[in-house]
Amino acid sequence: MVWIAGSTVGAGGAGNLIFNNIPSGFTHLQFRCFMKSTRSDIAIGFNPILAQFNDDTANNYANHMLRGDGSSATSSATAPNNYAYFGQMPGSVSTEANIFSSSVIDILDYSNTNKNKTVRVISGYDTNGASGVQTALLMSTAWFSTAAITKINVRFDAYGNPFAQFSRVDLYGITSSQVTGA
Amino acid sequence: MGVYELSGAGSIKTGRTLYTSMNAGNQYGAMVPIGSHTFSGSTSDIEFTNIPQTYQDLFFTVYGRATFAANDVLIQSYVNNDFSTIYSTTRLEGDGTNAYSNRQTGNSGLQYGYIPSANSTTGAFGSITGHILNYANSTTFKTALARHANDRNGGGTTGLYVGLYRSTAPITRLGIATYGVGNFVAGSQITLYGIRAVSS
Repeated sequence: MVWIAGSTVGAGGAGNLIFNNIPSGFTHLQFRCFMKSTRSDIAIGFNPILAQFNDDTANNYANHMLRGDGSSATSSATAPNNYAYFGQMPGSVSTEANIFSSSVIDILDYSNTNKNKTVRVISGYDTNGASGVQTALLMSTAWFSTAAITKINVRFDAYGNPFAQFSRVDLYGITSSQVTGA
Repeated sequence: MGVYELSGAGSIKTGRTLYTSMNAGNQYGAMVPIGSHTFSGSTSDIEFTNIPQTYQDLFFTVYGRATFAANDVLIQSYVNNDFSTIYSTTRLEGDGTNAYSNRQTGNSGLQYGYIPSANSTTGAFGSITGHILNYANSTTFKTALARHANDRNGGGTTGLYVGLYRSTAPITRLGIATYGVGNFVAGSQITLYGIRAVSS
């Protein structure tokens, strides 16, 4: 596994985190996200981290999720959709202070030009039972395109609020060839 | 070929080239072993101390079985030798019949899931993998993600646990334990890895 690029959000927040010219030489990609929204007017029930591939903003995506909110487990699906889901994140109400979500996103065979792409996500955050809605989340997205993924735009939340300071996204390449070092 | 990284603070920036080429000679692994332990059967935990603060995230694996007289045992972590009730967990779990979610607050450890124990099918071991992102950050609480597979040939659970350690202290010590509910059987193994970014 090799680190490709990453970004940490500074003071004032950030709206889009763009990974462009992603090398095609890896076998798979993995994103590791530590995220929080700046939304502060209400504890957010479902606030997904959104992503789009190769500037595709059309309804070429479909999603599934299995979600636990600490009270019940629910399953849902959205098709078609114009986003991939990269997990969920808390907002910035007082009960969510200092709390960020962790997400690990795998995209296998991202550069294969014979296959549509599938995204697999584990994500979640806990609020110690506070009025924010904690979540443990399994998600998947199908992107119906055989194009190799060369650009990924990790977008601000569905409500238009930027990512909060200290949020970060790191992109890794997983190779099937031997590399030097650890 | 360039790889562009969003840089700067506070606003959307145009991309800048992080580095201009990728080839096998310049690549190095991002997942680095910090420590590993194989149990002899007489202890209930392992603590990794003096964890380097130079990685981005921590990742660990548990492949284990416990000695306690029960079907399975909950595996937890204590952080920085902190056994106070400063931990909480949201669970998403299935037991082969039902899918359910619950939460626990005021815990004395980060909960990761279950492994088989003495009353379960002979030879059944459980598998747990866990991520603790931004473990060395001194401004945020710590959120752990752990998946467990605990199949006991007719019983068991699989699930995703999300844990919160309500402290901004960087993690320098991490113990993984049965919390006194028996020991790990001989052959159980726990490994801790650091996940690094190029600047660390």
